[in-house]
Amino acid sequence: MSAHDHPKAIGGSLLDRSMLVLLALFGVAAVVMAYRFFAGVGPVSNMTDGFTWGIWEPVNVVVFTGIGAGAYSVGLLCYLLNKGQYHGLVRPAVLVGAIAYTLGGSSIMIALGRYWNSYLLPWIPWWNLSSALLEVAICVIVYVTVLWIEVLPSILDGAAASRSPRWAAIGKTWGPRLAKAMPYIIALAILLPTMHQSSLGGLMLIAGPKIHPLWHTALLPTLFLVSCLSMGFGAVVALVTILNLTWNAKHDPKLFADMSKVNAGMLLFYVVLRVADVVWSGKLRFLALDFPTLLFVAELALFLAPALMFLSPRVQRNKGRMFGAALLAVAAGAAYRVDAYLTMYRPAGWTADGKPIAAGWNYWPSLGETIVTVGMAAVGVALFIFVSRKFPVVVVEDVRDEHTHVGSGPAKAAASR
Amino acid sequence: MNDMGSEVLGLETKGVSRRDFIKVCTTAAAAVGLPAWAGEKMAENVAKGRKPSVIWLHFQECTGCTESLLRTSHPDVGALILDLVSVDYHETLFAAAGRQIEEALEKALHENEGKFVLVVEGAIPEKDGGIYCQVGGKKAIDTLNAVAAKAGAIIAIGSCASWGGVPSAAPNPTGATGAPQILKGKTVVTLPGCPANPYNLLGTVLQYATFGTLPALDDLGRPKFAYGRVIHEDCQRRPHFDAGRFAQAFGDEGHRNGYCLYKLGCKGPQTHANCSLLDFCEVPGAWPVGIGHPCVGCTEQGVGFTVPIYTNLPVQNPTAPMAYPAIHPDHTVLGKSALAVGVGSAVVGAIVGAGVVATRKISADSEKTEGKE
Repeated sequence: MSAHDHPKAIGGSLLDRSMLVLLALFGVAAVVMAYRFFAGVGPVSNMTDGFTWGIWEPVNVVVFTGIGAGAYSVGLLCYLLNKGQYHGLVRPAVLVGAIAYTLGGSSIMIALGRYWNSYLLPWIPWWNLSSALLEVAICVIVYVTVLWIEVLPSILDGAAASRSPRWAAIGKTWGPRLAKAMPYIIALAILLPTMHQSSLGGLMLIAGPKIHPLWHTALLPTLFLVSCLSMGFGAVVALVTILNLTWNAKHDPKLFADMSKVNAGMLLFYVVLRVADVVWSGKLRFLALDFPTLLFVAELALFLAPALMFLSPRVQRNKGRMFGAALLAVAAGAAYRVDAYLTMYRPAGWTADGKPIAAGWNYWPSLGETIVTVGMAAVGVALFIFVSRKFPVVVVEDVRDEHTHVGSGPAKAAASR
Repeated sequence: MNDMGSEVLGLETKGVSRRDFIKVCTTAAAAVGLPAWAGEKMAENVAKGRKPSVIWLHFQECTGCTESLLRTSHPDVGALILDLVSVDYHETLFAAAGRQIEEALEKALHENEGKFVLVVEGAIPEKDGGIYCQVGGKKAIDTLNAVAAKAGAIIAIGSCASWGGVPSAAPNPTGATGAPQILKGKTVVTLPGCPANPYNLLGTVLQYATFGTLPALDDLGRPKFAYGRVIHEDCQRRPHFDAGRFAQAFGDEGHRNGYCLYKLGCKGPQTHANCSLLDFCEVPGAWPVGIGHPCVGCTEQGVGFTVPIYTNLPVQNPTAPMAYPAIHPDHTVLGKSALAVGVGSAVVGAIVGAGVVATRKISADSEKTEGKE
């Protein structure tokens, strides 16, 4: 990490137009959520006894936390493999992680039919220790806390630089203290997602024959873990590219190219695992000219495309193509997760030759569910903007560099390295 | 200490060990919600000869409460109750009669004035000046007022003494009423029930004797430890109620399988008592619902002896409060519609579209700068 790599608060107007749009989207969602708490989950959603999770679980929890896994994947690179050059990416990635996991957790509260019983969750004597869902719940709750603690250094740095003497004092005392505790926090931050991201796959393992055979495999936990890493790397590249365009964030193409090679490895590893598993367990017979096969192939293509792109020098040179590939990596993980959780899930299961058994249940997210999911995503983005405007999260391109202007990030960053 | 209680009371000769003795005291303490050490303290006090003096008055009743007290089972708790408390006046249990017994009452009143526990069993008639119940030439209402004036604590045992019970059932020819209605302004602990559970009495008396306090009471004078909840809440058949499994008729399959008796007229949902938690006379299941008969609501004024036994009552605390949202899927408000499908698809389309457009634009810009350099 070079000397001028320090993150800084972006500043600027908090309530600009994009912020207002985001807050308006969340406002509509808030109305739906409030209504849901009084009238019940039925009137606002299309959840049934057959499709009990709707899209709030597969999207708000499983996909959001996949995107939030940027904190995990960058943490792995930066701390576990000791690649200090990725340090500048940690703060934005951790902030995204904290926000995504918080939204995922709060979505559960909205989706719970009897949410008023949830206060019993921390009561350890009542824990069912053989429940995968409990593992996810506890692990995610702890990890949300850990992530916000990881965000704290930014907040304390901001406080230390604050003009208010009281804030400054708090920041100056607690910043170094927290820094001492950080190695343990980081250890937890690596351990916990390893546990619950694989448990998210484990949840679908339990669903057994309700998942299409092409998706139901003993490798579900592994595939979920690998896909969260690829989503995380992708999300960080996409995020920093956007930040570079809007706030002139430091954008280092060489760094991204290196990281994306790791990501390409992850994506390819996923494809190899997936295909080998299908071949190995004799599931090739399920491949036919039908929807599941089409989806299966499309998913594999979504994983393969960014992997090949990341490895191509032509793409590595171009910020936009890298951005596109990163988006594809996120989309691939998201598609896999939604398919395993929802698209390829049938309440009555699948026949031996891979046809869905009719059970009278159909599902498409209701207007209310879509509004809540969109609103949650919107408030997440709003929160990110707010925190990075107020506190030092994003590493900005060195302002002393006279040539710096929007759009010329990569070259300059390359020059300054 | 070894034979503390039994030695003093001479219980060994009655075949009651110290262990049994402490056990009874502890059960009594537990019944009033006191910790186990309180039971030991009670036993200690009794062993020291500080037995609470009890004056027991009988009025309009069947003596069922006394009978159930005497028939507490192994170990001979009936005997123990009589040894744990010093019953100085009790018309059913006294060997003496006539003038002799009246003298005993006078003596007990003077010796323990302000300290003794008055237990009232039976309703008190008020009609025609209270002439319908007289003992030793004195009207029940006068005796009660006189004795209560000197009592340290007043306990009304059974539904008759608590609120009128059977004697007050319509048309109530004697104007029978409960002790609290006569003794206005005094604290009367009521232990309604037909009969009341002996342990509820024992616990209350021993708490008063040991600590000089009464258990927490509700606005009808009922100890909250025993009457705080309705039977329905702690009923052993409650899971059947919640699952909708009901006996529809006596002897039907549901009845034989031990299903909920609500549809046979069970008054449990409105009757405050601890029958489902504290066995009568230590016999497991010895209460109406336990033996397959609906609760008749004997403890509850306005239910017992008032509402016919097999008449259905509405459930007092039926389900979760109305503020809780429904669980049933009712997708009417923002549920199924073409709009939902449209909006959902539009959102996915917008995300994909934005990704494609942004990628193209940034790529093009990036290429331009590449070209420049």
